[in-house]
Amino acid sequence: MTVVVRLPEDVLSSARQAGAVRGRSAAEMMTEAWRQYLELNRDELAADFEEAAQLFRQGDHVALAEFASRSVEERAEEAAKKIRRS
Amino acid sequence: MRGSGLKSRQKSEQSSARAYHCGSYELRLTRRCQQEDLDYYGEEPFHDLAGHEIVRALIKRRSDGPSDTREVSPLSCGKPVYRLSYGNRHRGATWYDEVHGVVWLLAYGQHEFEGQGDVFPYFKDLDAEGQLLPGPADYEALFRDRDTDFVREIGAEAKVLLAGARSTPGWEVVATLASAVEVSVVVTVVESLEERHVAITMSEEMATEHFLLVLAALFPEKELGEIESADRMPGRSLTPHELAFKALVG
Repeated sequence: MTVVVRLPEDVLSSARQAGAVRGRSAAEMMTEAWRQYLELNRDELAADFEEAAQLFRQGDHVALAEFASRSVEERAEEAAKKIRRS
Repeated sequence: MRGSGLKSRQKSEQSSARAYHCGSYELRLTRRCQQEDLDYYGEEPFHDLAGHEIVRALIKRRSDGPSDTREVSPLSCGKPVYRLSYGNRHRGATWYDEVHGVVWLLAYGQHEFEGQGDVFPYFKDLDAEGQLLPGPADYEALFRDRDTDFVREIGAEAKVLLAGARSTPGWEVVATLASAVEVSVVVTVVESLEERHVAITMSEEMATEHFLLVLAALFPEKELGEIESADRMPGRSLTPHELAFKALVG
């Protein structure tokens, strides 16, 4: 099961540093961070991908919603913190 | 070549149990406001509290636009919090959370009624205690509702998108799946196989699970190991926000 909620800060900051040296845009750095993340976690993600594909094939919307909400508590914490910081 | 795909979903103005949808945003009550100010512990405020003056005012005055002119001030939270009134007695405080597309009813009180004083110091006290703005429980409820909508819509929309791409081989078909994720699909026919290219517009905030669901909805026959990264879409380079993938499908 994937535990990463969103792009980890270390992957993001590594991509940002590399991108800054090369004069890349913020968007290019973000997609580079995603590429790195997907590459580094490919094996772990493969099992989750298969589970998601299986749920689509079965049309199990309840299980799909549970899958989509796996990281909901972390996302909610982050959203509440973010509005207080901004 | 790029063709138009699915249209973005437009929610009609309608009342639902946990939220009231107003086109590009929705109305919600914070859990603290529901429980402490309205003494309501259920999950369907727009049904169960439909007759309450402040809920009626919320719908009536915030359906046309998320903001107002009179603010509750000064506040330390740094957000524009607007006054909501119903008659002489009922007062509320709302904030338009533009990032998440929600007008939150943050607080409610009765103003100068039966010995109660001015309600606005109460709103200011909540602000000073960090209790006025929505908290994790509010965002969790919001995200769970949106995740449910996301998975309900994405499977069907991906099927329509793929069918559209298959019926126009070589054309790029673009859609915003579940009103949330922009994707492009190009199908080309290679002998008896279909080569499917998919570009997904990414964001830092996209949850990994949502990315996997989008990819799985667009390659439901494949395993992740059979899907390759692509550095361009047929006939064009990628935009800085896009990641592209391709696979042969039998």
